[in-house]
Amino acid sequence: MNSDRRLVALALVALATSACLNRQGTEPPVFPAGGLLARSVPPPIWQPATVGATYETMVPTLAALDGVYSASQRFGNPVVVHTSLTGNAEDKLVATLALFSSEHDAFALLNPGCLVEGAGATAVTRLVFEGYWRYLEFPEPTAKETGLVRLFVEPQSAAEALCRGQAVAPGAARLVGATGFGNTAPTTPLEVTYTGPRKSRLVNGVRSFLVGVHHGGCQTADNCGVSENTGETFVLSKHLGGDYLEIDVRLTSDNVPVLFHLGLTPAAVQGLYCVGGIEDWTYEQLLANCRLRNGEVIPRLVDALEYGLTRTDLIVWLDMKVTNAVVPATQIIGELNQRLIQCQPGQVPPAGKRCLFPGSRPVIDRVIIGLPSDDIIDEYTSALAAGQLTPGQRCLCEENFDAAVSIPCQAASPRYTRGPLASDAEYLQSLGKFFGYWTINDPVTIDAFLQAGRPNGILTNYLGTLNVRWEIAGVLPPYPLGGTP
Amino acid sequence: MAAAATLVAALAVPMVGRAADPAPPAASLQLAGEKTAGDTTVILVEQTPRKPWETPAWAYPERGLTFFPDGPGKGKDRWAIGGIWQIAPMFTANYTRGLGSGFTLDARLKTILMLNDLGIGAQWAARWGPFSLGLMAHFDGFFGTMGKVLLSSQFNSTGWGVLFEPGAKAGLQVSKDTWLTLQFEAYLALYQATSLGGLVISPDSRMWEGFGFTLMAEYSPKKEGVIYYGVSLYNTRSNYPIWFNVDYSPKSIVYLGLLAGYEF
Repeated sequence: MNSDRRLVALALVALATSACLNRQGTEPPVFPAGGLLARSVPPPIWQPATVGATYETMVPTLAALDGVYSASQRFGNPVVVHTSLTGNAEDKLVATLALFSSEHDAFALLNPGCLVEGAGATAVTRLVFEGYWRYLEFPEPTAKETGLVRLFVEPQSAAEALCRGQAVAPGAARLVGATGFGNTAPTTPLEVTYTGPRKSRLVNGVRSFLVGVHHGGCQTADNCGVSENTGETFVLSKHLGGDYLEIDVRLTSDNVPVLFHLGLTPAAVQGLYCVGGIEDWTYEQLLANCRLRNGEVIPRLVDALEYGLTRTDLIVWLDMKVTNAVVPATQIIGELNQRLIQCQPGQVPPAGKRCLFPGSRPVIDRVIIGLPSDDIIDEYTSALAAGQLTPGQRCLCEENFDAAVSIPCQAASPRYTRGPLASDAEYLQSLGKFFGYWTINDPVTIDAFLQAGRPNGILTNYLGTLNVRWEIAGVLPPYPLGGTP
Repeated sequence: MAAAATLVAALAVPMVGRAADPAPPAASLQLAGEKTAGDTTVILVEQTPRKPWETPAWAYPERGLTFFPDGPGKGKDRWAIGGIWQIAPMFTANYTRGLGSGFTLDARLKTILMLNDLGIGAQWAARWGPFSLGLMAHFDGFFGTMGKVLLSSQFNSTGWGVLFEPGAKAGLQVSKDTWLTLQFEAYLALYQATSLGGLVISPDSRMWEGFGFTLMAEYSPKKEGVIYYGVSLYNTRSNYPIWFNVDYSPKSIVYLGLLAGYEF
């Protein structure tokens, strides 16, 4: 039995033996019977493309709704409306609209549907969004802190245009509907009104400010229904406005790189025998004994990357938690770089290969090895000297800026408790390197560091809040980003 | 009969106890009868037993206690040193001085070099038998620093602020040499700031930082020095005080503290 088949067999055994392991986190509220979306069709994903258009030039239909808005209740002001696409060419791409506010770290995630009401000449097409809202400030939300939300695009002409896949002018549409509490029907009126475009993140035409995701779109402890350090959290991160995702890599006792942060504790995992550390277990044992809080398996690095890179355009920062994970990780990146390819509309990938997320860059440009400490920097430079790194491998030095220049790495990202380090930031940025901070969650501190450090990115647990603070306090970096984080 | 009454009064005087001990209330003696046989008269009396805390063995230490609501007593004072494990271990020192009429002033210090907290406050307490109840309030100033020397290269930070900490205490003497105190204290931030690499940030701090309950025992077999120990349960903001602001989260966290020390 080869290794993959053994793993599949073990996974089945694990599923059978761990049937008593249920989801422990709360799940977001859902509309009964699928709500209005169940009898609607999604609007076209892309605005009409000219012949020969590539994914790089195609524009998502709902991007016309992106902007800064004002909300009549629930979310305060300002509210950022952020649309995103996730999924891949093999599945169906899904459009998501998000509302962000820094009050209570609020967000709402909604999906679109075009409804035809009436028949014949009196038929009217309406564009509805349905989903849920959440105050992330409360890690175990009650019905007062999460609920359903339903919004319609108005005026009618804008809804009909978007349902035909046609662009509408910025500010031509507003969102009108209601919110509710818990799983009860939304009845509290809500109007979300456009006030202006989102602030540019481009320097000389190059995207130079990015929102960083700490472990996942939502921390496991915040109970969003998806555990951190999983493939699924790539998708949630994208919905919540993330641009790059920091995930943690550890090595099992049989040298399988997996995603996991610290120890196997009840706060992160479930399973009677799931204790100790990742390094104490073979991957098969982890699979048989452990589930994450929301029921997921502890993913292999290769599986999580393949899932995330084909479903999102996120840049990925692999935080090496142990020195001996560096070489296995770069080998996986090399293997995926061969197997996951860029595709264009209508293109079928060759046998044995899969398409990356539409329009996203190659794996080798998107997956960066993070070097948090000097011993891991030493391991990385030794592997570099020995020719063990995948050609083109990119790296990020957390604290050691000299190493970032000498190796060289493409990015540096110190802990914010060292301060903004503005002169270091500007120097590294002048070399085209990414300079960011980890991990800032407090809105006041986010504002201060956006202005004092003019970084290329900030890692945070509260993606919506960082997106809003950028609109309020963000200052573009002095140089265009030459590398990637 | 008059002689009998005089004798009853004389018997009511405590038979034991040091001169320095406060006189416990007199036990109540009731004349039950009198029998005379020949030239001998036997006086029969009934004595209502004194409550344990009314006996000299249960006497409050002459210089009082640091944490029991009654405090040290008028004109008396106490020093205490010890430690508390509250996420991180810290050394503690306390000074209390009784003012009379139930009032006590105190000063307290917690330090682990990278976090130093000095507070001054006052309390008022009243006692009923073995029970004692008190109200208190403290102002604490804190200052701390974390950098290469004291932690790691990931820090270059200092923090400072002022806290207001009102609270209440309930005390119970449970044996002749042990006093229990349950203390509640709320933590309100009046001002706080942190310098991160020279960038000073003073968040729009909410006043409410959290609260803590502490249950402690003070043990003094000789009514002189006192050994104290206890356990605390805290529910505070994750970065209370701001100095621990290394991974800010708006949510509150619950954690335990252990404390112990000696009162001189």
